[in-house]
Amino acid sequence: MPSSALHDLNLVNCRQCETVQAADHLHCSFCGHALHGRKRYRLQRAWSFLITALILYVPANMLPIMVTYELGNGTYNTIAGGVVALWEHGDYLIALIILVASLLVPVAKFAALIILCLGDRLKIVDRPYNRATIYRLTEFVGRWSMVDVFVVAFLASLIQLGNLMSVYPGPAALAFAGMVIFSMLAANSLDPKLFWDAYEQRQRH
Amino acid sequence: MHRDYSHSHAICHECDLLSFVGDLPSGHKAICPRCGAVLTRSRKNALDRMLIFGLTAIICLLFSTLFSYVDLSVQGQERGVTLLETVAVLFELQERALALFTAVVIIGLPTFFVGVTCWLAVSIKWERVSARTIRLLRIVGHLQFWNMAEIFFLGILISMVKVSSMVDVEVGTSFWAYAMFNVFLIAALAQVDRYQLAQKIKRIVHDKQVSPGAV
Repeated sequence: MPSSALHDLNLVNCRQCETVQAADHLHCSFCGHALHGRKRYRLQRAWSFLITALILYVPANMLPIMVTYELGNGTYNTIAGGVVALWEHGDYLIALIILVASLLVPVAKFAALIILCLGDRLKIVDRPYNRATIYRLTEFVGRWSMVDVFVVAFLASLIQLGNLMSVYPGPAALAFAGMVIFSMLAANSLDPKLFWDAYEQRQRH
Repeated sequence: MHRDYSHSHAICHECDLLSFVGDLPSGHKAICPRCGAVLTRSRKNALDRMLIFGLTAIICLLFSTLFSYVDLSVQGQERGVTLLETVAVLFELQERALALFTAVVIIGLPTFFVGVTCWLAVSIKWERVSARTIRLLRIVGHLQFWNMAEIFFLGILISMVKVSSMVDVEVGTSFWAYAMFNVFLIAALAQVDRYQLAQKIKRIVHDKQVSPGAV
């Protein structure tokens, strides 16, 4: 059974209109969109986005994400500090949601992206089906990390009561948003077809 | 010379396997036999649903921008914010990047999506399409992950629980409108299947070329 449309049949699908056609053409015969065999150069792009996200992860966690002024007293909260405060206050569910969305998911996502980017150089998770599952999960779950940024944005816009009580976004809010954006771009840059190419190459040898 | 696969086959986006799809009966989906990725999904009355859900979403969006969605009262002071005020206040606080980002992912892109869904449904239904219409399909596919309206919604819920011990918060009219907007936006986008819609567009364009003048 032929297993790779590009390598075994010399066929590609247009990324715009899905028309299956010969890979020799530069442009789609139907809609004229540029045809590409593999998004190979994308791996470098994925690495650069991933490294940017990793760098932003540091200020996102070290700096305060939210500043609360209550009767003149300012409280600076980091993400981890916010989780602890919520937990001590008894809001266990909210504390857990923030803990998972803001602290655990980004770390898991970095691990997943590093595994996918390293590919065959890493000997773990070498079955393409498992890699595809990791890829799908990473793509699906990534955007939900943004919830903490929206909590800050929303609270800052709602709680503006002058000296009585005011909330301002801290510098970590932007760093965190950037981290989520760049890790989403990194996941977007990967071409899952490369996992299967590598697998087939191994099968042949 | 190649066989012509262009009207019957699909190549899996994840593992590059060529599969026969043909005319998928409505309500069915085609799954890649090797990796299990969904190749295409043929929804029942997809165009009608895109249009109806899209229009409903637009109406909900209008209502959700008109009134305040959360009202706050603490020690006699009261305050309510609308969706646009949320963005405006962030601008005033000199958090321009955060304001811009929030505006794009919770209002801009969702509005763009419902607009495009309605536009696609209407233009395909009344056969006013060209190969260029397909570009819109690709843009929607690319940007779908950047629609964060439902995440913002979750953010509102978390915030309300977070501050409920310090201040009194109540949901306003727009809160429910925005919730309904999210439901209908997701319902409309779920009907958009690039393969199926592209096949429809190709058929219309092809028919026009066979009998020109019948526009």
